[in-house]
Amino acid sequence: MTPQHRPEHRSATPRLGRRSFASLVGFASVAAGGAVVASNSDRLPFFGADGPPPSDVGPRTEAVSLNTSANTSVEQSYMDAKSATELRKAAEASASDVILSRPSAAAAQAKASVPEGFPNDPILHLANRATFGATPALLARIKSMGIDAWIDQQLKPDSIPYTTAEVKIKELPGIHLTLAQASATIHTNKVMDSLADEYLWATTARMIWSDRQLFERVVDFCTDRINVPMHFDFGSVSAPYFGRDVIRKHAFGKYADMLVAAVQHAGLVIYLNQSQSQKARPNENLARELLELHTVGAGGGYTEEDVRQAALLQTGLGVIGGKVVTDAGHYTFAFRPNNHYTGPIKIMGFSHPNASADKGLEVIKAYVNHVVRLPAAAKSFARELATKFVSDKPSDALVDKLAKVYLDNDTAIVPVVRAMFSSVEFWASPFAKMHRPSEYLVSIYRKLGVQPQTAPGYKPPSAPARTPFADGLRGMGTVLNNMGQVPVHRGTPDGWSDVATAYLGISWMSTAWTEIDFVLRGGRPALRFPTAANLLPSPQPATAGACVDALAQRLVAQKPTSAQRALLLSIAEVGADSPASATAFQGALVDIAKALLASPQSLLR
Amino acid sequence: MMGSNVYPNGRGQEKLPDPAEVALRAAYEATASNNAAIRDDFLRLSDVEEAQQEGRGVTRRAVVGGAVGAAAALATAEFAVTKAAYAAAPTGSGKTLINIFLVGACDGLGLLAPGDDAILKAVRPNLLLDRTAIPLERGFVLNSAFTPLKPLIDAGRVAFVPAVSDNKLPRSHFQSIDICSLGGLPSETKGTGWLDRLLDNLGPTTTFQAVNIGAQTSRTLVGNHVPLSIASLKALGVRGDARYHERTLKAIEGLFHGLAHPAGDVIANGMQAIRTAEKLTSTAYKPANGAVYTGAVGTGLQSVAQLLRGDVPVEVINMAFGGYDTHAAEGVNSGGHLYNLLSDLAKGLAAFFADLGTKAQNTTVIVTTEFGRRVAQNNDGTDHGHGGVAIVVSGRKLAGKVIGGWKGLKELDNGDVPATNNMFGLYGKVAQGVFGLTDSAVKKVFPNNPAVSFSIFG
Repeated sequence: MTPQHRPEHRSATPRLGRRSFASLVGFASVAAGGAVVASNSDRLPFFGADGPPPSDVGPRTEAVSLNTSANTSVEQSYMDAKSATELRKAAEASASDVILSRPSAAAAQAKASVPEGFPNDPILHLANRATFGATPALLARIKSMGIDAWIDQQLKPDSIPYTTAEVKIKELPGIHLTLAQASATIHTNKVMDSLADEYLWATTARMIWSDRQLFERVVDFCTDRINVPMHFDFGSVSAPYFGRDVIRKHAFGKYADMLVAAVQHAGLVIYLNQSQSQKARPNENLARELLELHTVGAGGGYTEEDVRQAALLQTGLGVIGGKVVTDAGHYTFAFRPNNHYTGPIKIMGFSHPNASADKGLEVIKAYVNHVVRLPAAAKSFARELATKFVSDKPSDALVDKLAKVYLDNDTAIVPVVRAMFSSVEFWASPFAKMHRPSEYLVSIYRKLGVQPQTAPGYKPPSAPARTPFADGLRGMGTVLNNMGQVPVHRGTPDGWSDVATAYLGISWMSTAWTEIDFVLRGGRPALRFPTAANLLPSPQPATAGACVDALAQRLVAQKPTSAQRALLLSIAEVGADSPASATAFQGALVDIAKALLASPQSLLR
Repeated sequence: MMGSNVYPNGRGQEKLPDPAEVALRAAYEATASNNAAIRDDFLRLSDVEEAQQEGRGVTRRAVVGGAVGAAAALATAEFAVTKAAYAAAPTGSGKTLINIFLVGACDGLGLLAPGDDAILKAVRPNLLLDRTAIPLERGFVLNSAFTPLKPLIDAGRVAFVPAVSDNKLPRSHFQSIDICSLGGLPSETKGTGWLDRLLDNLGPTTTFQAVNIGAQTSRTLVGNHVPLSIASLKALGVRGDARYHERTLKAIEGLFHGLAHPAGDVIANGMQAIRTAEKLTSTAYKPANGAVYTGAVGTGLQSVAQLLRGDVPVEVINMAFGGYDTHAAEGVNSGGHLYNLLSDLAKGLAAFFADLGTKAQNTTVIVTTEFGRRVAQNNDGTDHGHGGVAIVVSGRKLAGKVIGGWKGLKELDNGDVPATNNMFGLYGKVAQGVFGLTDSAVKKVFPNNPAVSFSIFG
């Protein structure tokens, strides 16, 4: 097939004179689908009255389509690799389009294929997927409530009290400001940590300590779907508030509302250059990514012409303020009718006369509300959600079912999440996911039972003035940075992908193992970690073998196989029946805990 | 096969001094028969699949060409012996190719531009290279951010290629990066990255044969082989009580043994890499010849220099650096955004080649990006385009300072620089020049792409 889509009726574009320059900035001058679409190419500013005549810049070719033979997502590309063969086969083996009325019914019907050496435990599986790490207390709670009641409660996060750590998040001084307040103070308050750091710390604190775990998981999913990273020009102020005011606000609401809010927030509008886009010189960045990343996805049926039309339509979305960064309003969203392109628009089945600049924002919202409800957008959303929660390669059948739930519920997210947990495929896929680097570290912190209090020997930093809580989270942030996959800090418009084959690296794992060693030896006293001995029940079991069993139960929620136990005991060079009090064994406890948290049972989820 | 290689059952071999080894052995034996069955099944399926894909009879390429999945997990159980000492392993070609990818679509015309060009003056008045630009040859001027590389440029060790792309590449970042990484469309590349297919032609060496530097494993290296993926050499190491260190690593290896998940391969390869890296980083690294590493590119390349100067036989490196999606506030001149990125790149490369000294002779870097940007500015930035600029830097003499075809800016592709010089033809030609590959070997790596007609090396 031809690599570039060149419709017949445009193949004989005549050689153009002055107008050909219009093509250089990609202006819409093409009839899309036969409908005449206005062109503003005559207003191009490239040449003044005395400018040189653009005598011969050559013919304009037809607008370039996306390559329909190419992959349509990062996940798809990675999962088609040969090294993903086992993952694909496992996913195929658990494929099912059955969605039942209750999660527990689906769990009962599913035939989970658990790899050898892994526990077959639906409660552990649920904890591994719906939370950021299975702790003994969490497992006990799900067990006592039952799977259905626990999920119901998680889907009503307001019914779950804030934990001590969530209350402590208010110690981060910038996190509760409004965007305008933050814009006004950020450059005068020199002692404050950056808002970008604070937002990361608040995010990781919630992942570790919030009891609203499923909500935080969905927030994490939406963060990667509409990614506004913390570090871009002017983004260090607006991006954290994008996370709070758009993502968190709508994570359990309607995805359409989230996206409509997103295009009206300074964070996204600045990041994807929409604020620089002018009707005479449209900037395509947000228009393109809204189609490719936020709605229908690459391969979702749009053309370059659609992108250009959308770029024209979206002009007017901007921010208030001049160039002075201390201007209090600089970072807040504003619609600027004067900068809104007017004229008929046609994009993926959406057409509008778009005649009034004053009503431009309403047309833009109508357009977003249109594309976010297209079948391709439903599929793209469903596939990403299932990839996040079910397996690296969810079945098309499940994706189709979830896409239908998305459309049937007018893009409401909670029903899709509930349907996903009620699918047989979900329950048939234990340990099919690998923790991403950041999730791995968070899960380790949770499994170790870190507390948001200081440990003895903690010395506060001299400056900037920072609470111990913030200081502890800052330390963790440094480790995340070294591991390379920092939540809410993905630097490109696509969020962090979530398939194992994208993260097959050894150094982030070894960095996490080092951190285990560090915290178990008291290296991070701003937070309270247990010692390795504290991880054992009191009084300690009498033999080394019994201690290893207890440690495995504590950290990876399973009794080790005899081979696993022998490997763990080999670290201390002792036998299973050796007394636990032996110096060699006690000295090796940290390393045994490290090996358990490094094990496949901890890495996979 | 693997069982007898690793832990021979012959008499006299049974007494292993280290309890960790004993435990490992027990783990292997416990799973050996199961694994053998899985492996046989896997290899059979793999052969059949491959044969079906290629429309031919069953071959053993799946076995010899670099085992995958379960097969690799088992084959790499040999780590305990064959990969224990990289110096004793085959040293490979002794050549190194470093693939640097500029993520976000670097504006080629902000990097290298025809000098004094009337079209550029007309359509990108805010993004013209100023008078500090370095005149090269054929009328091109180079962004002065490359000044740190001037000595290498003057010595003929740096070549710039304009108008590089492929007509398969669309204007989507993701799709173009993906196609660049695969070296073609998915249907043409069978799910393997181009550097992964290149490894098929280099033969096995050590854990360090292919190294990805970055948080995510580049798609270029995903396929048949198991690359070593690290954030930096320094990050590769495990802190702990020295008394238990080695036995802890062994225990972790054992816990992953036989795992039917690609993470098993990562551990099997990675543990030996950790041991090597711990040796290399046990003393502070001292760059040679006054080299000073700064910035993101320099930091990444320092890890590579450390490996190469430590005589680790690295053949393929992949690195990626972002920030090039300059829709606004592009800044091509001193102090500007693009200038700063290119300056970071130039400083990193200059430090690296200085540091390598005579080892530079065997080292070649190719720098590419997913596409160039539109010829006309949108205001103070540029939108997505087509033909971009590639850079080759080598310790060897190159064919020129500006190589490849250039037809000027009068004939454009949809307002963009056309794909005069084929991206994949260029990749293939550079790889061929570095490793001395035959034409048919290059054809295996890039089955559907014409070789470029111009020379790379002088």
